[in-house]
Amino acid sequence: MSDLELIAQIKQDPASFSILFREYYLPIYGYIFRRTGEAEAAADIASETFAKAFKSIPYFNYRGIAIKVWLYRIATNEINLYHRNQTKRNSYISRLDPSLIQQYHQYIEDDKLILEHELEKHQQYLEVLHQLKTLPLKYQEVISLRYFEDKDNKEIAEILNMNEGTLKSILSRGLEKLRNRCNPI
Amino acid sequence: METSEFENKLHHMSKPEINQLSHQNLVAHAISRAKEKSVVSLWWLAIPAFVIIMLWMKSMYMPQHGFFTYLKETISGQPPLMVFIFYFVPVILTLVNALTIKKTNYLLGGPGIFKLLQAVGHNVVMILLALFILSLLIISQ
Repeated sequence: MSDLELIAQIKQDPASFSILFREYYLPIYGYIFRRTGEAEAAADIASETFAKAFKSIPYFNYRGIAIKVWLYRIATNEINLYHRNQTKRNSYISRLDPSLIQQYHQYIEDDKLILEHELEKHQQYLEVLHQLKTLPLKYQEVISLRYFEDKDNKEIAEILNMNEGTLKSILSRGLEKLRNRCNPI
Repeated sequence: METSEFENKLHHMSKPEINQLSHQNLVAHAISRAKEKSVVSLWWLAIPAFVIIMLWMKSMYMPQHGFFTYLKETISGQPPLMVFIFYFVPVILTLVNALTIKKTNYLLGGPGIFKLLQAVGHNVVMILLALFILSLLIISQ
């Protein structure tokens, strides 16, 4: 199913949002997790991202950007909010029945164990992420999209809603700053 | 290490991959139950709106002075509180709602004027109300 068909279907039947959720939750969660390095925070941010997408999709304009780019855009915004405030929200999860909330926290603990084990296998990445987090957010977002998510400049420019010239300039300055932090003279 | 070498290192280093998540289905369930949040900011405008309605009623029952005269009297009688209610609250709410519209437009990828207005209808109403209150105050001065 194309993006266009999927949007039309969701607008007609909101329950079809589950198709979009199944297709994009893992990649978006992965992006957030690689940006933050924190399993629980990533789950919180990912749920906010999809909740915002669910509420906004009736007004989504396909001609502007593709669904995947749009979700990355919302997720980037939510990650930046998290970095600025460092607060947990979980507003949608808290509306579940108490037994389901308990189950959710159990699942989060299970996922956390697996993901922490996964993180330990990538020490070089962890060192880079540690240094990356000390840079301003504008550098963090372009570097993580370019080198952690392997996005090309055109796609990053679409996600961040900036022109490619500005993107290249931020990327180049950010890379230089990150290199200096990873290899202090 | 040269920048190009460092860039190459970033490209080729291994990164964590996520293949399965246990919590995913519960998030989907929670989102499907999500409801629109109420417009909390409306309560802030309710205070000056209440004062304005009271003054308007006063001008109807005591027509020797007009509405604007009563408004001016009220504001000059309690300056700090009235400045807060009639200046600070509407200005802040106008800015907050305008920024929300900007952010919504950004997140929706420029949905076109009609759909944007549909999405941010309550923000537009808030701005109009706030500007109305501000304009009443300016006229009364």
